[in-house]
Amino acid sequence: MLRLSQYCVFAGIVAVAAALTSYVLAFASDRVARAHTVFAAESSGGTVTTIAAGEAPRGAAAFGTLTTWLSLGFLSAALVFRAIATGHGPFANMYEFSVAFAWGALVINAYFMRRYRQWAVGVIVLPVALGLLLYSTTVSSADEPLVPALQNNLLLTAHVATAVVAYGAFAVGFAAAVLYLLNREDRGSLLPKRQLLDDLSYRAALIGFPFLTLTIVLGAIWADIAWGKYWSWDPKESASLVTWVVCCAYLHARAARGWRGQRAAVLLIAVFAAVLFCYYGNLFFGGLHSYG
Amino acid sequence: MSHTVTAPAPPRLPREPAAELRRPALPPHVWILRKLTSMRVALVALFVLAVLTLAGILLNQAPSSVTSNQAAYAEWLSSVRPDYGGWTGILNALGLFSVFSSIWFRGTVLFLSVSVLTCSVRRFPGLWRTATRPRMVMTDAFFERAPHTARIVSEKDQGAALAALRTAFRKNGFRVSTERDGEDIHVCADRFRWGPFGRIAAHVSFVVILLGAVATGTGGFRDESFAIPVGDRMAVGHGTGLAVEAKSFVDSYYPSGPPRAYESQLVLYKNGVPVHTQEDRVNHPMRYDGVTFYQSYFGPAVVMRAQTSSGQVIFNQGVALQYESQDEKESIGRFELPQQGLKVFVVSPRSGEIDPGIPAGSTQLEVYDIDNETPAGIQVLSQGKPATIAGVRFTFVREREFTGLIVAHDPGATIVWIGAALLVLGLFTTFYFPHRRVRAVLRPGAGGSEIGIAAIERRHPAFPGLFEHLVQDIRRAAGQGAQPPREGGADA
Ligand code: HEM
Repeated sequence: MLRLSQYCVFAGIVAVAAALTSYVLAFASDRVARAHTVFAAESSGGTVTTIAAGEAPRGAAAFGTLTTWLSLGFLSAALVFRAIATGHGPFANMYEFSVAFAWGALVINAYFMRRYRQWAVGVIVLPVALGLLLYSTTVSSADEPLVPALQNNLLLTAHVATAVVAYGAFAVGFAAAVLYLLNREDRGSLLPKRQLLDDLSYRAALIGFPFLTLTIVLGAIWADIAWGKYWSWDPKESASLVTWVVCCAYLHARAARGWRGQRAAVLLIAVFAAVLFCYYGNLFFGGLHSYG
Repeated sequence: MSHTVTAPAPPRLPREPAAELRRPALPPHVWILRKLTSMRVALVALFVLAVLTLAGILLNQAPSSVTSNQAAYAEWLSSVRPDYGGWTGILNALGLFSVFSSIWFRGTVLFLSVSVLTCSVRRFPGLWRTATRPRMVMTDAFFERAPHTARIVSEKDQGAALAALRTAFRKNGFRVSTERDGEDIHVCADRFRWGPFGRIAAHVSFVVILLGAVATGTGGFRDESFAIPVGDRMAVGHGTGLAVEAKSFVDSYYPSGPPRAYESQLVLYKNGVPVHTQEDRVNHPMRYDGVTFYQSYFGPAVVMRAQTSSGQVIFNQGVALQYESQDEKESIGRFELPQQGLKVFVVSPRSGEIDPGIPAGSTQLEVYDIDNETPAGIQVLSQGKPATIAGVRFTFVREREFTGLIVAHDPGATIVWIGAALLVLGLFTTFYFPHRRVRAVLRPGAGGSEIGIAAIERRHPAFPGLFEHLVQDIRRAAGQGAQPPREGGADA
């Protein structure tokens, strides 16, 4: 079963890489095509429209979308097999969490793919997922038994499952924000319209924030049960608080001060940076002794 | 709340001529209230909070055991000096080595709580009115200029059109209220009209959680080194009348090495009467009367007996060797003989360490005067062979294990959980059950009636879709004669 799970992860990696390659090819060929058509279209007074939101993707992009769904299928299978093999939610070590995080990003990406009938956000989400999956291959995937502190199946599952949703949502929000910043002109292209990207990133945050809050609360409940203290300012707790506060600021800036577009996009990118810091900070900053 | 979107920037104090300076432009309480409810100031405060928390992650934080003791703190400070060099003094003066108890952090949190409370109190009446007593009659201009508008010409008469409208709204989960104004019928349709109170709950929760944290910090107790030698009973103290007996302790391991479980069999006594027994494990703490016992650590213990020269037994129980020597090679336990004015340290090599001075099967006793560091005698005792130090006959009876618990009573936790529940419920309500209000006006027209529909929600990206869907449903229900909707704020 464990072996099967690993094969699925491997297939997932291949599928993600294939999807990413197809999307990049789609963009590249679009650029070439656009260079040819832009003059004709502008001189006839029309705007260049190739694949805008609402249209089904064609060619390389269609293949990219297919493989994106495939990768989601493979990773789902990998997580299910792993859970069956280990007898606990697949969230107990860095390997499992990295695969689950990639899965979360792909799920939320798939949701927004359907919801907004676009695929371009995948161009940023897929590299994030790929990075996580490749990272997972560098850490031990052995099925280590759970040490006593982790032996709380319900809270382990609930706490990390909500984190996977939250981080997946922030990854997609980040992707949309990056595309927003890249899509300066909002001329017809493979990139969705700026307005759509702005909406999409906001909605991603609307998913991410409540789930992040839930993650933190469940973590506090667990800490209270396992260590007798619901909050102890350990670096991971603090980092999750930073993420929460920045996202809270993003939502307020947007709701009450009408921040849209560029400034909002930058804040959302900061939120995702905080997420990465939260989960991988102890690797990058391992040299700082505060991460004992 | 859409007015805040277009609201002008908060007024600045105008530059006034010097002679006018005696008369401030804004009375101070108004100025303070403005700052407290200003989103811009709140955003700055949130930003400060994020930066301070980040500092708390990146800078070494002095452990709480050190901050309460000046000498220990000075020592700690010199231990981090190599890392921060000349910045050490500055960071220390700014309180950045104890960020989370610094005045900056506490001040910011306090400001934010006062701010959210003020906001909630100020907004509550408006939200209440919006939810319960909306203005019913809207002007024609509203139906023309709102961000989302549509117009339907129906062949049904006004009454039938209203029935159709009602059905369409209800189908989409809206509650409909109507009011006649001359020939017109005004309709106000609401979905989730209690949704905005989730925001109040979320805001108030911040303060509730904070109060809980304050209660945790100021009330209750937390004993992190409650070590019971197996077979002994120890009083919890703190006026609880509780005592715990450790019947057994078992640590078990997986074949590959990592720990599988730490379990203590505990019996709890209240005023000497056994009231509860439990297998205490990590993740399964024993709780009683608001006091919680967490399985935390374990280690070796020795049973010691002390007798006076007349043979009277003044001490006979286990001593947990729960401290470590500075070189981490020895385990140390401690007990007192108050009547003799002595304190006794029991020193054994840590498991795996070999100390030629203390051979296996023996332990070293260091006896001191209770009030000062004057040693009264140091001696290595073999198991079962008594020795007399400072007039007391000590016997190392046998070796044992101790189980180490954290014993805590936290009066703030419940408050924090209430706040957390409010926060989560409030958030999910605000985000997933947002208040939606759509208005309509029905006017008798030539050969039927005319329906105007309008809404002003600007913020939520899903609203245009919802509005579109509603209009289509109404058009279908209201029958023929329909016209395409006018494009309002709705995007394709
Ligand atoms: C815990 C930290 C929070 C702080 C410091 C904070 C602070 C504020 C402040 C100062 C305002 C402006 C006062 C007002 O116009 O009503 C405000 C408004 C608002 N807050 Fe929060 N808030 C916090 C949490 C939340 C949460 C968790 C939510 C999510 C439900 C939320 C949702 C809102 C909304 C929707 C507004 C109204 C904006 C408007 O009226 O245009 N706040 N907040």
